[in-house]
Amino acid sequence: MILAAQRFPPPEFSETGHQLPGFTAPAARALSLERLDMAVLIGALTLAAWLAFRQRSRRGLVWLGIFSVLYFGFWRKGCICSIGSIQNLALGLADSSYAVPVIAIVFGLVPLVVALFFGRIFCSSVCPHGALQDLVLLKPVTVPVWLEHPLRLIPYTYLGLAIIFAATGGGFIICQYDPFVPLFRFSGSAAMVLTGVGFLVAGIFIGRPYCRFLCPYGVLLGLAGNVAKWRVRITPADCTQCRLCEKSCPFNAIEPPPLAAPARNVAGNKRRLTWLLAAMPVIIVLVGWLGGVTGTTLARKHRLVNLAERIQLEDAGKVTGPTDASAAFRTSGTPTEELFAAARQLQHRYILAGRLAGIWIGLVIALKLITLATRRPRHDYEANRIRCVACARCYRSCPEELKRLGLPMPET
Amino acid sequence: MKSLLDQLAFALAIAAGIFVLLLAGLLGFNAVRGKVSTLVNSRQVVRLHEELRRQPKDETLKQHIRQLDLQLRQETFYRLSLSQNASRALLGGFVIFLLSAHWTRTRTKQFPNPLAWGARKPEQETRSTRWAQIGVTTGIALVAFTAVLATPVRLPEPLPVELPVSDEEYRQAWPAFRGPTGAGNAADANVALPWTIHWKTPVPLPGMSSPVIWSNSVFLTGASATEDRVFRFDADTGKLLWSAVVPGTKPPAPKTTDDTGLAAPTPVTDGRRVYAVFPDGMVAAFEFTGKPVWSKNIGPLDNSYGYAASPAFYRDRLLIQIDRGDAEEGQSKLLALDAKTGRELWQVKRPVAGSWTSPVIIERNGQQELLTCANPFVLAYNPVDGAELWRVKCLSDDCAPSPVLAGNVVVAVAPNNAVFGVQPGTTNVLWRTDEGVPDASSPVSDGVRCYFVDPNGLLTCWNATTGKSVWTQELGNQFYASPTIAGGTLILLSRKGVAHVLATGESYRLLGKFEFGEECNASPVPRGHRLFVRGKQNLFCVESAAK
Repeated sequence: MILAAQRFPPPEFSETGHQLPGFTAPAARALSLERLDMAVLIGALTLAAWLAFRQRSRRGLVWLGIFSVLYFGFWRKGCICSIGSIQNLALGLADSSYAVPVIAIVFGLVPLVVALFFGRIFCSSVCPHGALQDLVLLKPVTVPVWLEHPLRLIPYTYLGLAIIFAATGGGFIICQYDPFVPLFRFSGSAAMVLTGVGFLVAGIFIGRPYCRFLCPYGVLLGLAGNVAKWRVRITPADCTQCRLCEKSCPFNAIEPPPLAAPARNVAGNKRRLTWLLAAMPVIIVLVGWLGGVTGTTLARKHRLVNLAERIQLEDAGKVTGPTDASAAFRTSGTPTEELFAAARQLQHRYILAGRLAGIWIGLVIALKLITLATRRPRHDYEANRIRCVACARCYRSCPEELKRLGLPMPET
Repeated sequence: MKSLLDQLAFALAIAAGIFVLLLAGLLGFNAVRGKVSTLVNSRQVVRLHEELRRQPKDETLKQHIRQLDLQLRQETFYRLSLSQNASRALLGGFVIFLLSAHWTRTRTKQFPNPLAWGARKPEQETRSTRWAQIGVTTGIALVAFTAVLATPVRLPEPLPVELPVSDEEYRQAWPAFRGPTGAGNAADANVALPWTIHWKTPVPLPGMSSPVIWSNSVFLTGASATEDRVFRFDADTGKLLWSAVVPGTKPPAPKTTDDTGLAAPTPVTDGRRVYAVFPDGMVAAFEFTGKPVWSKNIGPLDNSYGYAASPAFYRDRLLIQIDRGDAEEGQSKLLALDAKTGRELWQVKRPVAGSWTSPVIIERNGQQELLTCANPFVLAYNPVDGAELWRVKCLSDDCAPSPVLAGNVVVAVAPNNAVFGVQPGTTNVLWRTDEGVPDASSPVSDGVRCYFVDPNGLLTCWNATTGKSVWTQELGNQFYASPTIAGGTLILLSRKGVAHVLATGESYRLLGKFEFGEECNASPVPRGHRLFVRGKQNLFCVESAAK
């Protein structure tokens, strides 16, 4: 990997008079190539849906995944990606002066629209991040349920933060902390390269760790997929309740039919549910307040607030030596009062945004606790609409599917 | 029994795995090594560059630096190339590992036997759900705890609100030496004769500095060998409101002549604070209440007659011209300090000899420039960052009169030599005259003509645009104080304390004289119908009958 830090000043040619060539910026991606990207995305989504629902072909999805890693990952350098494009959309909604690029709109919205009909088909084999993790999964281990559920809340939080930062001009954190783009580009900061490698190594044992426990776009796809008309149906016939599909899913996405609770637990469960329903507004308000409290800290991510705090500390003599940013500001001639006023305004915006994000996260937490306390009537083993990424692993684990295909039952 | 292909795949997976691990380790080591020995980080290069700054003509040292530079660059490129190739090899190795490991796993995978799992147990699943709830709750608690910890216990205090003083406010005051534009011209003032002394107040310490005025406050500086002081007087009553000592350890008083003294630089104010520079090197800022805000020593400022340049003010910064020694010595510089804190914002070297002129902020083509004069250049800077904008080589000797913008022409003085009309933004000298060249007092302009008085009292009126003499008049006095224009009145204050009041225009017309009764060297300051004059002992406020 070529680390971003491996840069150095140009040689000095003051005595020879040699003129250094000026900096050049790489040309923007040609419009025709952008159109090709959009066409490939739509084609890949169509193909993925056909392979997952019509062909029920795991092998086909694997090949499509390899293509996506090569095309959307290594060839397009992972940008623009659907995950990051939600930040463009958020900024576009918050800042009327920002024109969202058409390609960002297409990459951000098309997979979501497709998810409304076919669930998380994008995750199955079109997203290069998901496909890469899917390909490295060798020996899956089951993440315990008690850990799985709290970890599944992280993407909701990450989504809230990403939208806050994007909408307030604090930066595109999904892109800044994307662990796989540096791998696709063979370039990036040492920390992010190591993070990417770490995710891949973890991904050998834990199915799609980024998709399950971090990806903010997966949250939106999951919510859209919850109402999808077409979804993964594990068995083509009646479920024999053999549990093979449950064991075949490395993502804990297959839910068994609920067992009848022991009689002594029923009353306790009802009481717990009542308490949780009553506590729901409290949880929402509490986490919303917490979000507001962290707003000031979050505001530091914004360069202006960061600069204002630095200037304040320097003026108070609490830090020594200017940073590049503070030195540049001081020579700009802009009065510090203007900077402070702008920073204060931003702090207020972050506090407000933090409250909204907190309310969102509080709502998710409350609903998660309520979901855990309730049992939804279900007769067969089913793929969870939010969690299932349509990888098609479960199809061939079902004896009924094997029977349909005329394949022999494997030996145990 | 495994087939040969299975065994080969297994062996390949092991070999590829080891290869990937080794290569990853090598890459990591290379990255760490690269961080400590690149051109950017090389201590040796930094040390050699420092040495070169001390010995700029050492050719052996230069050669050494060049060789080292080349060597480090070659190393860096080699390492980059190695990293790129190793990364590709790493990817290839990883792909081979994945393929062979997948093959091995697929071939050895046992299809699970559901019968061996036994029946699902409700208690176990209920317990599992309960643990999930506990897990979520614990997760919330952890996140909340982290969020509260991440938030500073003491939130940053509300940032101080200090709205910038508007340009209009600044122009309405007389905030600096020779007024807001440094031209010594108050077009809206009317100090027509006759005058009466409205008040007269003794100044506690001597000084050559002129008064500056903001609203109803008059500020002055004074100094002795043991202390530097700033004074605030009430403009209406003349009452000394406070006299503040510059805090900090006072440097020894510099050697100076009696004609310059220990408090020649005029203070400057931005309407919030007053800033003063003293020849011993002390710079200080005071609130209007007299409370010190900051002070620092920027010395030494000593030069042959004593330091006399008044500071200029631009937006949020104090601009101090420090010209010392010969031009070749490289001691002259321009310094910008943050007005609020005194922190140094930047400084630039000036290729000039020692001078006693004050920098002036002028506006040209909608942009503000800092205009300076010293042997041999009229030099303009960007007051924001100190970048040089233009220079004209025409000056000589010990420059003391400050430059002035007369219409579109900069008038600069080379004492004992000539007065020059310079076209700003170019290298053009439009005109020159050796008639009536001042040595201490600065020229003044009514926008069309400029007026200057030589040491013997010869007053010259010159058309700044055409470069033609308009008139001259012998006044018969010696003048240090720079002349001032108030409305259509030209005021010249002689060293003996006699104010010559003339009408500006195409011909000499004396309107009258006024005697202050003591020596006067500071420039008079007109405000409305009043004129503030610093004498050797007293500060005077005279009022016009035109009131």
